[in-house]
Amino acid sequence: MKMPVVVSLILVAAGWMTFSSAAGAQTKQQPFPAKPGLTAQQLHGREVLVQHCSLCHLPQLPRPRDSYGPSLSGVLKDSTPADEQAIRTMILKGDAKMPGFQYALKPAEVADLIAFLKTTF
Amino acid sequence: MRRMRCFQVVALAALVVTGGSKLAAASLSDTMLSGTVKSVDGKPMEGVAVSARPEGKTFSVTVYTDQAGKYTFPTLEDGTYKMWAQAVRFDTARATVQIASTKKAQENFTLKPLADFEKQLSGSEWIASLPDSTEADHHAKQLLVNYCTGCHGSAFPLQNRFDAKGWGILIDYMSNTTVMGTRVGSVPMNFELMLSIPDYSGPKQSSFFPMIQAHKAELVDYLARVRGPNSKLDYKPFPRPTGESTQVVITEYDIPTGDVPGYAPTPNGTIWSDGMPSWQEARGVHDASICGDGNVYFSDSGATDGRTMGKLDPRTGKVTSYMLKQQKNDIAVAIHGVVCDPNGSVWITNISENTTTRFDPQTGQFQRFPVPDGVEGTGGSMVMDSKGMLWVDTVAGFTKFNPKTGEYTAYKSVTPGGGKYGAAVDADDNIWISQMAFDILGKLSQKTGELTEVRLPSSEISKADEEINNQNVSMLASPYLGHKGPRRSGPFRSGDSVYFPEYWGNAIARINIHTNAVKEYPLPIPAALPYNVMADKNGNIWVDMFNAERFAKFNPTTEKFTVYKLPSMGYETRYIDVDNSTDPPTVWVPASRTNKIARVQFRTAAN
Repeated sequence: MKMPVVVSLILVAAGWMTFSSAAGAQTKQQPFPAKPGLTAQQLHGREVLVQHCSLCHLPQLPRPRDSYGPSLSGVLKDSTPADEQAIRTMILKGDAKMPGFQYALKPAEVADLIAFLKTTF
Repeated sequence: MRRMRCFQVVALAALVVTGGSKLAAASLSDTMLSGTVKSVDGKPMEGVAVSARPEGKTFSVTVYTDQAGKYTFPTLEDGTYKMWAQAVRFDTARATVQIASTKKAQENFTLKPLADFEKQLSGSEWIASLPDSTEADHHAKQLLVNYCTGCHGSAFPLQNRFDAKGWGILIDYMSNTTVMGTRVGSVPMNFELMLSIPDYSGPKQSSFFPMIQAHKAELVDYLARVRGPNSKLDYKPFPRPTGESTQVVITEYDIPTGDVPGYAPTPNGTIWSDGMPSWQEARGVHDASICGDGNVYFSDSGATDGRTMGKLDPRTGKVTSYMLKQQKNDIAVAIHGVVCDPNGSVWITNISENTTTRFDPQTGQFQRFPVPDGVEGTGGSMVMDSKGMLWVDTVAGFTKFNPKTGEYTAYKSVTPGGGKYGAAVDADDNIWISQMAFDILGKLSQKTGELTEVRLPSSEISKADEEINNQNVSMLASPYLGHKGPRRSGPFRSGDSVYFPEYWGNAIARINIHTNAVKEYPLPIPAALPYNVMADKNGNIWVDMFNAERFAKFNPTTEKFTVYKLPSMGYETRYIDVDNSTDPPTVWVPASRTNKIARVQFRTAAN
């Protein structure tokens, strides 16, 4: 096989990059352990978020760095039914930048996720 | 022999107190916890993982049922234990038991079938379940394995279903995401230390990973069909462990994250039906080396600001984090390779500062060794030769570090570039460096000073694929189709061979160190993605399987593999180590996706 030129960037799937501190330039995000007082449904909703939404909606690591997509903390806190429906539609259908999860999440998982999105984290 | 030891670690007996099982000291008749596992039709089930976790502790112990469906734990400490039994296609069964040295506990489980079991599948099982009977599907599946597994396994994305738009968005995202999961350009990176573009004068590339973009349309089409709105798969989970593969005791230790003390994120892969856990929070363990003091020293899979290196004490499960602040700022130095010195030191590849660094376990202090200008002082992998010299792979080739004098000697590889990663030494003290993107193994004879190459045979690909290869830049994590991808290896202190895993070739390559003849052994698990190999004192070769949630023993005499299943999801193992101070040797397997390190002890006729 012909040997084309290769960018031999030694990316070895973690720990191979060095980072400079960007202190002061980025939003400091808090780590994500479950807060006390969450209901069983909210705890499961938190796991759904970590499992399916964290790639874009939790802070980039190493901390502190912004998430790629918007933070979801409290996005449905004190929300109206219309707010909740809008978020539900977003979860299921996505938009130009976000895939829709209607085929990936079960209705119960979506319900649990929404319950968690009513909390701040 | 993996390494010489300053003193014998009576590892198994010392583990009596709190850190796991008294394997060496116990016989089966001594066990205080046993039982059987059957299916609802009353039939005994072999190969079921039965786990027990003591209350208030940070580790779990797992054994597997035998042909009669019986499981037996080694002697455990008194206390209350949560138990669970798992098998693919079955729901998890749970129990709580009291263990007391004065009373045997019997806990039987009945496993009920689980209709929706897909989340229990490993990445390899997902790949095995995808259609490939047509030429188009076969090609697309090859692309999926080649371009979507350099940084992560197959299970995490495939446990989802998206429409074509959704898969397209994700592929675009991945094309411009670094291996750290960060967006290109969002974090300053010292590319200068690692980036080598030998004579590249081609067109501007379409993205960070142009090979993924080059195949995007075909990938989207396939994924939307096989994991899309109307997809139904004929799932093909692998058979449960049988025979020798069930004769293990696996202790899994929780490893808290480096930046949040005491925090071990969940879900963490403990319960298979929860699915493959996200790496986002966990950023588990990369290299984990068992040293002569009986502790495991490890590097983080995803660098954090708060930890340079961790130490796991298997006797207690306690994890201690050590931080070396970078000289230019206050965040932790990031490391990759960890090597135990017989004199008690621990050597690390300080990739933040391009220097080989020594850690003293007695004092907890790090010592940097200054690097001359223009020399690459460290790399991803490090190995110690028989004279105590340390060797690392570098962008230019490799570097030798002399711990006695602090002197660095740089070598240029015969063929530049190629994504150097693995560093190994053979019984003749030849140094081997893998050039993963080029299927080249560089070889330095320390006796003659001669630098040569061994080339692994690449697989046949179509002219169309060759054309795409020629038009696009390859990155280490997205190689050219048809390439084998030799990854990491360890020291081989005896024998006539050196071994390298072929990550995308799904095999291990055995190279005769005198003749350079290559023999390849395909793995018995499809798309297993072997990342690292390590020899034990008996000449067996241990192979991790990044995508399979398994690892294997290769017997060079019989040329056979024995495959073992790990008790949790989310290992995506990037390293494997062997403790040759025990009989039989103990194998250590770190999880890079979730926060665990597993110790594997092998049962013998005596216990």
